[in-house]
Amino acid sequence: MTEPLLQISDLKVSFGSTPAVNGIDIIINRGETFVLLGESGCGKSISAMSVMRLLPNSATINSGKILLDGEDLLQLPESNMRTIRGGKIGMIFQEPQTSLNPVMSIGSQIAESLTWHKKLKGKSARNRVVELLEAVGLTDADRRYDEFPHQFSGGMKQRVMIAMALAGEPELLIADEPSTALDVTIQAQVLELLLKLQKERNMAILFITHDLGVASKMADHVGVMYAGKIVETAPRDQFFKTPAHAYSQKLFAALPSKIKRQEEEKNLVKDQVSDVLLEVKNLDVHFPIRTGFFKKVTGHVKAVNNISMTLERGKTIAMVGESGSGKTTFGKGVLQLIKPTNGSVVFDGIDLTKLSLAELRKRRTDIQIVFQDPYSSMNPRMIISDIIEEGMVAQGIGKTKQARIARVEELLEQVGLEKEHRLRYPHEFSGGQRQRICIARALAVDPKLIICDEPTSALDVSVQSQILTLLKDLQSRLGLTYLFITHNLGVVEYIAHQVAVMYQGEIVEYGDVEQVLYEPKHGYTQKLLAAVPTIETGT
Amino acid sequence: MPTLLWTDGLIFLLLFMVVMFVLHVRRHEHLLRPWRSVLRSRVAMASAVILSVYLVIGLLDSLHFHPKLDNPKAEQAQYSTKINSVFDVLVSHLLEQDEKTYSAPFAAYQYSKETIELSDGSTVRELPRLKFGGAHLTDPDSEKVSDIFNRTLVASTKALVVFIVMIGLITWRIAAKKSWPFSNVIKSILKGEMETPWKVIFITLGMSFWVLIIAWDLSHAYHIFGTDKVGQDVYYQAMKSIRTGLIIGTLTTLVMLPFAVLMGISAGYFRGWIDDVIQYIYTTLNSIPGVLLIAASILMLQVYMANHAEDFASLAARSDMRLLFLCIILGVTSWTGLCRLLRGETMKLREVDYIQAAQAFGVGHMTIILRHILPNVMHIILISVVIDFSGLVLAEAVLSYINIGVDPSMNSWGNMINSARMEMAREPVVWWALAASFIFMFVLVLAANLFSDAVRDAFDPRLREREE
Repeated sequence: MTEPLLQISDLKVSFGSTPAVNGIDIIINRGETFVLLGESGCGKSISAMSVMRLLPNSATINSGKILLDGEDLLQLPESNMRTIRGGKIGMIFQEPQTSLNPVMSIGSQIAESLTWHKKLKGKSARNRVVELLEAVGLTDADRRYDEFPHQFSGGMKQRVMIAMALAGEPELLIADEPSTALDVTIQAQVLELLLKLQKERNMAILFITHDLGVASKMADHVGVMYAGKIVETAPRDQFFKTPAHAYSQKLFAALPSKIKRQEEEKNLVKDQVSDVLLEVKNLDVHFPIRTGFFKKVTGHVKAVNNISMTLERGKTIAMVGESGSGKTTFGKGVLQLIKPTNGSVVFDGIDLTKLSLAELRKRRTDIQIVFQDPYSSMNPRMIISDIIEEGMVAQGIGKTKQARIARVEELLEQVGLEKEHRLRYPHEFSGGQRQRICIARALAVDPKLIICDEPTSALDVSVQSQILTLLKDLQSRLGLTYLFITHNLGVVEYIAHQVAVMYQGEIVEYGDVEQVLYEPKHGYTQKLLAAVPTIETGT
Repeated sequence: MPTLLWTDGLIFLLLFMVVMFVLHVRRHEHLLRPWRSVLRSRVAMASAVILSVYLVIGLLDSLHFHPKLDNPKAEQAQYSTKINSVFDVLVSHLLEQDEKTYSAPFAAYQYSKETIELSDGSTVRELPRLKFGGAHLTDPDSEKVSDIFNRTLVASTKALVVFIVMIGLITWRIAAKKSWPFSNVIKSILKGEMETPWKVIFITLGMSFWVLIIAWDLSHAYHIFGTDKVGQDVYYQAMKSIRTGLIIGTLTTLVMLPFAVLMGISAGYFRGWIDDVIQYIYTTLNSIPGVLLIAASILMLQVYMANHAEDFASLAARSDMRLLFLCIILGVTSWTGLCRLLRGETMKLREVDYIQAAQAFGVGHMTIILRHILPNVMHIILISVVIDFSGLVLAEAVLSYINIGVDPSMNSWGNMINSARMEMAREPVVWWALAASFIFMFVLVLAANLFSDAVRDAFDPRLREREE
């Protein structure tokens, strides 16, 4: 066996007195991918940053060695480090939107690295950049050299980032959640590209992710990180067949899937009468494009285009689609937060689009919404009690202050929190707890329909499953109906009865979960399903 | 007979509002948190002490009354038409020690020579002795330095006594509140272990008392900042200017805030035509030079006051009116900056999920603005008020310099600098009026700036995140 390319031993990093990375060991061989798997805040990004020696000022490396080709990076002077960064080690970040300089053409951004590491200039640098752009799969690379980041889509930008990381011909590529911010289909392409490039160049990759599916696709070895420690390291096949550590098993158990759902549904008696709660007919939401001094309308962005669907009481429909497909706009259109351009939203026999503002305000109790980001969906300057109470006060539910407080306490217990949490502020809670509070807030006015706008996508896997279980539980107890907006097909399998697949503002496929997920008819649905990274135990 | 000038009333109204705000903040943990970090900052607390010394002088100078006339024949008490303040009474010795004309700080002789007729009828040109400055000395040239030194020493001793009594009182209060033994409190204060940097506060307080008491003692025997052209004590003028500076700095904000907050938030929240109208208003207002507007309105006010002389009982009432008007016009021209900031922030906030959630509950617009938006832009308002303060104090100086500031009869640093323009051209140079106004203004503005820096740091969400 040859000497490993990167060898990290007993690395300890801390912020002040709080340890962030607590003695980790990683060995990566040439041409191999090591996937560092873990939930947010477990120290995986900090570990990667210490390899690059790009830690924030408040962090200190307390002990350990990082050997690259037998050379300890932690002992090198800063000037040598600069030739290593981008030269021997390349790095790709999570957010392609903010990693590129918006006022430099992408070609010159890549050329910058070439000039520094390869001493290439002028024509030869340009030719090399074009080669690199072609290698990462950009067509018409010579023309795109002079274009600026805003002219590229998210996936394209990530390709540019990869090209930039490759410019110095690194032996080690560190990829920090490179596909998390991308849509599934794009994610699949980017991962495919990384694998191809790795094979061509015999690169080692340190791949950081929280997604088991992605890990399964990329890894040769997997290291599971938890609270600053690597709790389990194993070759890929062994890890996905028989995860050894309890925490790894918990991660697998938390994955929402069809099997879990069927187990749960066995216990439910299906005696609900089918009656239609929500009927959307030919709904359009168009945003006018205005140009010129007088803001003349010159065209429309058709965010939601001619959507019709029905939803039965007590059921869940999942709206699936990639970002920009109009799912959130549709949700807000149903809620009448955005006035639809055409069409009708008939809720419980009443067309909401025809109501006056005052009448609509009274009917606000019936439909509620739970947002994606639990951090921005609560006013940081109000206590939990006031946040939950707000809807009750606005709708005149609960006559006295005491009655409302009693209701708030009841709601908190219903969503699995404690009564005493009533007097705290939002920042004292974790993401999952906050999402529970948001659910309690929505429940406060006794809604019939709750629109869940990606309620779990900002959460870690294990927390995600708790929230989904809570939502299902509330549905069976209170007979709620959900309009569930998501891009995660695993969640769909777990929670939905029906699925509507949205693409560019239109529903391309609509039907029961079994039919859409297992016998997709529309080409886009098939593409979407194929792109989802799944865990394959065999190879 | 107490009397209330317009600006007095407003300044006490403002003080009342600040006290109410403090009480409100004390009851809310999340509001209190950033202020705690201000309280913990050493620089902030040192400048707060300096600011409060200024504030106390300014407030004492805002308690006005008509002095009683000594007329034994009158049955009812008669009052002078002159208006005095409590502060004037405290420093009455400065008011009475008028000289004939210029004299340098700590001088015993006048600054310019005079022709004096001797008893034998001949005349000589020499520097005459001052009426008050150093009048107690028989031979100023030999005795002055030691006299000043002795007086400073006595004053320092007094300051030390006051300082110790004060420390004792405060420490006793802390000890009582925390129910710790007195000695422990002293120890932890000296070691700097307390949350509030009491050591720094004590040192700053001690220094201010020391300077104040020395100045007080010496001012009984000398003109410590000299006298001006008509022989008035420059030290007194500089102290009187404190009130003018404070009023310009605070009342202007009071005038500006309603415009800025109301317009900024409505523009950002409602968008549409309301936004268009408000934007047009402030871009138009912004493109007119501020000085032009101020000059025009001050001139209009002067014409009005000349035509309605009977409405203004005294000179003080007249100059007070002009000061108030200056505050109003400064406020009207300076709200646009904050308004723009608030509009941008509100536009960002209205798209935030919790505002959308409130809309989904059918909460009314006014409630959303008051409960969700206003508290979340409060830090911007606070920061800009504190930062604007020092800018406005300086603005007063500039405006008075070009004669459209406060009334020339009113004491203000701007007027002092304005008159120093001529004095600087004299030979030998009369520098002390400029120096005095410069020192007073510099200390106030520096303290205000340091304090506002600390406030900004405490309220800046980005800095706070890093801390957490």
